Amino acid sequence: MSAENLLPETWSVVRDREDRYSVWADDKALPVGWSKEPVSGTRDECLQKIKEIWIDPRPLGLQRAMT
Amino acid sequence: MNKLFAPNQANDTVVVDDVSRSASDSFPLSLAQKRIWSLEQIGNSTVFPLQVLTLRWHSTVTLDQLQHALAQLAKRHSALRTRFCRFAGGRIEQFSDVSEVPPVETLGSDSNPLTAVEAEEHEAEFISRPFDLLSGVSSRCQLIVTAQGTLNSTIVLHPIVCDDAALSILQRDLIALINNEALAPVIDDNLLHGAREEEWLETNDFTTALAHWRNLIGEEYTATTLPTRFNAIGYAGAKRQHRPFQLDSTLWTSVKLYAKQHELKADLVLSAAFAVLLARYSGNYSLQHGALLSNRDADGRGQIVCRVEQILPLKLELTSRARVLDVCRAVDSAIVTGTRNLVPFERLVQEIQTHEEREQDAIVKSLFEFRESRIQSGLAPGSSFTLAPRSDIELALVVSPNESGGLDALFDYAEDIYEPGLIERASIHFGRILAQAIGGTDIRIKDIQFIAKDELDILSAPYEDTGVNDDRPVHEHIAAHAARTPDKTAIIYADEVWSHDRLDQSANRLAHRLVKLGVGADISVAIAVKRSPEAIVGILATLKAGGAYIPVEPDHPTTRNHHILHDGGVKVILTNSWLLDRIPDGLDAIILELDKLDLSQEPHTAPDVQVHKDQLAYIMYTSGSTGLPKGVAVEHGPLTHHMQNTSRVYGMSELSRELPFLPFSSDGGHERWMNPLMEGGSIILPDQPLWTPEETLTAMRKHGANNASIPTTYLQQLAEWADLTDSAPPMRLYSFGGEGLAQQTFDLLSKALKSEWLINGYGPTETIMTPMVWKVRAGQKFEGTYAPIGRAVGNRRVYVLDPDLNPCPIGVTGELYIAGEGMARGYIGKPDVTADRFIPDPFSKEGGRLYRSGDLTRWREDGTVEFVGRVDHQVKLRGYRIELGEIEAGLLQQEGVGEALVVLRDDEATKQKMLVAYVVPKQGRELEIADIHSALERALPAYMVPSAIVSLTSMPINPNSKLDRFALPAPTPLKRTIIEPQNAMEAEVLDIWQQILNISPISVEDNFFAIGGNSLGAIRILSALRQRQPQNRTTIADLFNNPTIRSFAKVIEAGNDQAGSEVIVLRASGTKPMLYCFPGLLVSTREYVKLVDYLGADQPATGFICYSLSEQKQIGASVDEIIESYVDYIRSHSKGQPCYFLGWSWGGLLAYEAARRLGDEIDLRLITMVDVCDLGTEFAIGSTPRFKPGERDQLHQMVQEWLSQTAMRAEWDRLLGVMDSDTYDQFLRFVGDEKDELPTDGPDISSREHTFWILIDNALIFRRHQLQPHNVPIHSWAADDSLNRGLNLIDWRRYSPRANPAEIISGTNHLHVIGSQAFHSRLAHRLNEAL
Repeated sequence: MSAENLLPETWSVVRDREDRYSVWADDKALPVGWSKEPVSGTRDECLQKIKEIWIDPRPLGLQRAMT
Repeated sequence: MNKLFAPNQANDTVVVDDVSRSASDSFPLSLAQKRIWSLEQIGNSTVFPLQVLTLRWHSTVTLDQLQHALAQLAKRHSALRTRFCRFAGGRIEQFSDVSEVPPVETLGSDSNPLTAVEAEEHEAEFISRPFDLLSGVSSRCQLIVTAQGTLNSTIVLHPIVCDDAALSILQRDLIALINNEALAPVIDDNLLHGAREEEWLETNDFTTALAHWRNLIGEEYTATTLPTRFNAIGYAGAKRQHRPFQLDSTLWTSVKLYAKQHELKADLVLSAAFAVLLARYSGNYSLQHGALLSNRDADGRGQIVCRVEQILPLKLELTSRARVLDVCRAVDSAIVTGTRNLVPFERLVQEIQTHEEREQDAIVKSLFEFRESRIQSGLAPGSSFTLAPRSDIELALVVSPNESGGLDALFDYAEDIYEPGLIERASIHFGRILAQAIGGTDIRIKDIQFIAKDELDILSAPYEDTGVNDDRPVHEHIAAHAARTPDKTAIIYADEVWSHDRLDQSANRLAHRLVKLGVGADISVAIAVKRSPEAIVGILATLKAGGAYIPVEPDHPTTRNHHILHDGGVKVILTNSWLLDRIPDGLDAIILELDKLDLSQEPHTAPDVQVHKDQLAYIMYTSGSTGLPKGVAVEHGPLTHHMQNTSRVYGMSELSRELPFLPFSSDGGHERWMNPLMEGGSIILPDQPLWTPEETLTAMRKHGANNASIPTTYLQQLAEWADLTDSAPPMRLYSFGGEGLAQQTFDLLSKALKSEWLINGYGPTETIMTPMVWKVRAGQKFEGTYAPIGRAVGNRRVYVLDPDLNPCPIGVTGELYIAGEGMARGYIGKPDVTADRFIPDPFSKEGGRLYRSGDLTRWREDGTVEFVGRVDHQVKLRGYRIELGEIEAGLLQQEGVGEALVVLRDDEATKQKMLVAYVVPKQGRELEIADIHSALERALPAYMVPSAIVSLTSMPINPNSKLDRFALPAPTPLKRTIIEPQNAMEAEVLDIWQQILNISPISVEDNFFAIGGNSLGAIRILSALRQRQPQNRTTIADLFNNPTIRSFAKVIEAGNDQAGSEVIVLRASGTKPMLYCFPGLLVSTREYVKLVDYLGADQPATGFICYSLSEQKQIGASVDEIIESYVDYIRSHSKGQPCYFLGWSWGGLLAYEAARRLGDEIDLRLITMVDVCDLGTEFAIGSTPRFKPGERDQLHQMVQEWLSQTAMRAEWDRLLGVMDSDTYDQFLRFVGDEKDELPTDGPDISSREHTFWILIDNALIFRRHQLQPHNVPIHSWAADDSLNRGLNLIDWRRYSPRANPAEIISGTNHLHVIGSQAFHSRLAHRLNEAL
């Protein structure tokens, strides 16, 4: 087993066009419609970060319509 | 087990070689050869097929040349002229004579050649001819001159002398001989392999190697293989299926290039690809499978024709992140280490599979074999060879380079265990793995895509639905009908009938009030009233006001409701005045008491509120497996689209009148009232949380329902009631959901509920109501534990994915993910949990999310999805991975069990994890828990049998109408009632039982066997009884037939008339012919109990007590004398009647002799022979033991000394007294060959010495016995382990023209085969056939 495989996997916080957040493994191609936030770490670390930054649960479209 | 268990066949039709052949020129067989010999003995020629070499020669090669070359080939390779001889008692050895040549058959000539068709026919016939190994050499040749100008040569060798690599050697050498090329000299030590192996097995090297494997494989192992058929356990027929396929030359060339770049052997890449296939298909990256080693790296072996191939178990610890290159290296290193510690596989299996629990579990279930390409130079085209693999492993993949530069491959597998469709796909995926693996150095297992995009599109696709959705929210759809058909019935509720108009106007008035109170977008309103038209008004009003409703069931626990009201941030609570005390204080919310509310001043028209598609429609609270309920927030856009799609799939219309039985605390409950109302139809709303099945069916009939939606947890009782009373009204559609729907329940409701359509709905709240359905016509059947959950509905897709988010192939278990528009916004106030469960959708072209369901599923052949269990429902107990659903399925198969649930919980007393099963009886049935328990013991491996089974009147249900696992009661330890003895005899027997079985207290009603008694215990009890009451004549059979203290005491008291039986009634009643079970040596008839249970209530069975345990036993009895009492009994009970015999071990001989004696007096339908072996060589008449100088006297001295010490002196003297001098010599030889010292622990029945005595006695009885032909139907079975040991199983075809070749029962041995379920199922099949 090469050393690379023994390293922990890293994940990133990702966001879609409606400002929904999620997490994604760095070694997989980022799905269409999502962009990486400058936050990475273990999966749990990323989820913890989302807890802090995802304040408004409303999709962007609704946020705009309501203002 | 001992080879002495069965008699010899000294006088059979087979020639016996003995004194004529001296010891020096014949040699023992290797273990692998012994196994093949055993298979040959029992008539099995499929496990190891004949080895065939067919070559086509150009016309430049002459017949003479070929004949000459063949003669030289035979001179060079002794395998072509190996012969076998049988010594007295069955020992087989091999020898060869250098002057011999294999027979050569020549067809056609230059002047009279054969046509292609003729040549083919002759070849096929030649190839299929069997060998008689005892009367000729083990190979034969055929030469054919064809009209095409070619010369065809075919060499057929018996697999006992040849493996595939050996064929390559033959081909190479034959070509060289034809071309007059010089061949390097060989030292052909082929015949010595067996002897060398025998010696090696005695060395420390062997002990070390064995320790390596014990350490590597351990006791708790899981052999990796591809997913098996549903219900494959218990069947393992010998039938094989083949799936040939090819890989093209481009791919093979690239593989070779890749291998070269990485300094690997190319076949290693193929082997690694197989490992990847297994890992991805099984989901288990700790692999245990096998590779077939040609095993020719040792000096000189590469040149010798013989059988030396070996199955090498491989253990690989991989992860899905491992690179394919790493897998190649891991396989390489496993092969290197394994080869260094190579132990004959036949022996390894014996050493590892020692636990009865593990018996059925092979060490290797999947095997990879690579065959090197053969030298082809100088051959005419068409010299192709077929891949004919050994078939002793469940599943094998053989790959070999072909003439066109590509690869020929073949999956060879057990038909009963694997689905052909799955294997076909696996073969395609094998090619895809290879093609992708070599794409770069860093390709990891997880990077490989098995499923092509177009395939995934089809698998993930929703129900076809060509309708177009509009974007109006649900409440506007409903309101539209109030305008169109104002007076039409919308809701029937007890005595109330609500029209569409009334419903709409009431909702509008309340909506105006809510708007005034500040309800609007993303503001929540609690609906805290019970399920009623009022609740629906509240919900519609909330939606009309732009708010989000939260259903709160007033009846639910206050802690739960308080949490919801706080967590959901409700602004307004709609409730009734009498429910006020259920509303917590301190909420920042306005409470409206609907019963006191005056809305007469509010307008009856809809408020002017625009609803954005992203605005929340409702928040539904779900009970997670842990912690507080979570609020799932659902938006209007996805909701209305979901409802419209569902309408079409369900076929809803203005004619629909539905009885929605699902509670309002589950989202499915809301779907089922919204749907009819949106279409202008109506609902019959139950006025109570639960109706009895009778009330439900009455309401349907009375109000003319055509649809009903029912929680799965309620279905069983409803269907049972309908079935019992035949009271179900005809319906168009039933839909149900909430739990896995067991096959049995589905079949019952399909029959009893008289519905045209059935829909099994599935869906987590997070993906809105019922995102998946399986819609079928009533009467549809399915294979599987649970009903399929079908396909996605509407604008969704579903995926079965592995933990790396790679789509699983059809039939492979993975987690279900749901994608598309139809999903919730997320969890209220839980962004991290939302981000965790709703993840980016890698399959979407537009962008979107995937919801991770936590449910294990698999795609079925038709693309629908099957529910397998919860991700967290797979548990590990004592190292075993257990799918709880499997145990539940086992419980549901028992008579009377309506519902079943199994959990892993802590035993409060021992703090140990244990499996506990909960069962609910079908209506009007009572469950006999002990019976269910013993049925499970028969059906499941021991580690899967629950420690406790608890009967409940109903399963606890949580507020979402799902099973509430946390409300299940802990099992209470069983309290035994101790019944005291009533009289002196019972007290006497009790005293003896307690003393012998060493347990206390014992109840006089306890079953002897249930409290741990066995045959030896029974005999000790009898002898203790005899000491106290010398006149007593009860026998072991009396105890078996009367296994409680109370019943046994009665037999003793009844005295001699009743007692003294040698017969055990295993099952007295049943309409099928009586099955007479003949005992093996030293086993009592109790061993047949499992089997008799399996055969069922209609199969009567009788067992005979083993002669060695019998009272009438005498020294030197003949077989005829032994069977006397059996024959008398059978004659008096079955004269002229149909019956079956079953003989296990030497009982087979007794059964055969009894059949011969009874002849036409009975109508014997079938004798079933179970692992009946021949007597070992030691005591066979005519076998002369060999002693080293002085050894005989030494042994004699040793025996005399031993006799002076043993307490069984008198018995031994009697036995030795009947031996003649030859026999005594054989006895001495036997003693000399024993590893252990002569035992002196007799005469106790369980002592080694007693057993030894019985064995010798038995040998003396049977050495004189000769089997005679008799025409009787016989079917026989052999235990795999007996074959591995090379035991001489009797081929009954030699004695009866109506005997079949034996079937093999894999993974079991001589002693345990009788309890093996695989054997039971096949026995049942054969008995039925013979009926």
